Amino acid sequence: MSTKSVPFSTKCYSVHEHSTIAAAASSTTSPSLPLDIILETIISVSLLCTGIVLSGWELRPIRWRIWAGQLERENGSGPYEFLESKLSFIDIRAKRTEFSNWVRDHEARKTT
Amino acid sequence: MASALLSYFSQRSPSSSHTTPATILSLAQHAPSFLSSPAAARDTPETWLLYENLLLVCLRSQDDSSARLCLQRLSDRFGAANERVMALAGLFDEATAGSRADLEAILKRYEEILAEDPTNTPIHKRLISLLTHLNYPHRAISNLTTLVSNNPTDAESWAELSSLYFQQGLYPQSIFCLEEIILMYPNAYNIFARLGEVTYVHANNSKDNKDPTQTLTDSLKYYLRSIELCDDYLRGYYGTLVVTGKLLQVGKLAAVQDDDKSMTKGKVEKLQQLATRKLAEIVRRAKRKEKGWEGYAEAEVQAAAKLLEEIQGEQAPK
Repeated sequence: MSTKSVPFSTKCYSVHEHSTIAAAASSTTSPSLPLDIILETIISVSLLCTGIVLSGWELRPIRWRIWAGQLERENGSGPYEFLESKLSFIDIRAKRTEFSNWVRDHEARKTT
Repeated sequence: MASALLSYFSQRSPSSSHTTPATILSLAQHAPSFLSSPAAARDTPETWLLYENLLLVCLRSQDDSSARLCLQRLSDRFGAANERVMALAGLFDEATAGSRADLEAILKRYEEILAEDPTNTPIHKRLISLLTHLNYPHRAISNLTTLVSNNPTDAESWAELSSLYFQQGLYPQSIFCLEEIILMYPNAYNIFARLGEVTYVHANNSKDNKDPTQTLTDSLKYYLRSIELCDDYLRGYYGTLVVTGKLLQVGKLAAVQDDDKSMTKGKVEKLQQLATRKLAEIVRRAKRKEKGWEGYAEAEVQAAAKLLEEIQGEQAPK
């Protein structure tokens, strides 16, 4: 990508040089930009865009079912988990009992 | 370690079904070091969200001193009169209450708060949760219907109401609540799977000897929608396999489709084969822990494997 930006920056410099020279010359006909500068600008912009696209961004899925499937496979829970976990209605005493039962079973399994 | 906690909580909520007691224990062990670190003093929304999630984790793991500290800091920052802080304080009291009498006193306190300010939604939700825990399902349901009529766009409340109706055996009402959630989140594949589950249970428990074919077909369609919305959805394929089996067993299926609502025997058989194939693939890849397939819950994969074995056993030539 940096190699693409070099011709682009040289192009900007050429345009700047030309406009400076044109202003200094103060001729009656206002010259349009020379063809080689225009072509160089177009080519360097397209090269820059190609470079940005190919610079290796990881593309993520945009179709819902593919993205949802990926989340389910990799994380086990998707973006709608909150609808079933219902955090505001959590039965905290039941969760504490579940935890202490697990600890007790875990300890029992360790000693056996 | 704050970043480790943050990254965990950004991926999943602390009360998801995948947050096992083992995970809770390992997260809770980070709590004391986090609370005494400088990262805990930063005043950003992420930090306060982390405090809230950490409070839940500490309460679940019975680390009440760390939980009290989290609550104290939240209260200092947002004030004890903040609705969310009041609900978290109520949660803490419920968790650390000694006896049923203490819980009844907390219940009374919630009712007094709501009498002063009926729009305090977090406290209303805690009230409903405590009523359910104390085994007052009718009061919980009537409070929850008031809540959803005041806040009809709160999907979480509809989800809770659906669970309460389901526990009472009121399946059509439970299905209605789930459909309300679908109106708000049309891509919620897990709610479609839940609809499939509730409809299937409804079909199996119909009191009169009504033909269950239409209800089973509805259940199948809900499951099919869930697998349309999420690739490789284990729960969806499991449900499809179970319902197609039941339909072929007891349903009155036509050979030719006569209207849009009915399923033909051929279609159901093909769907059963598809579900068997996909479920076998998921079980195989999850058991081998292939890259990108590690997220499935162990218990769900075991259940799917068991179902496949049973089906194979039934279909084996005698």
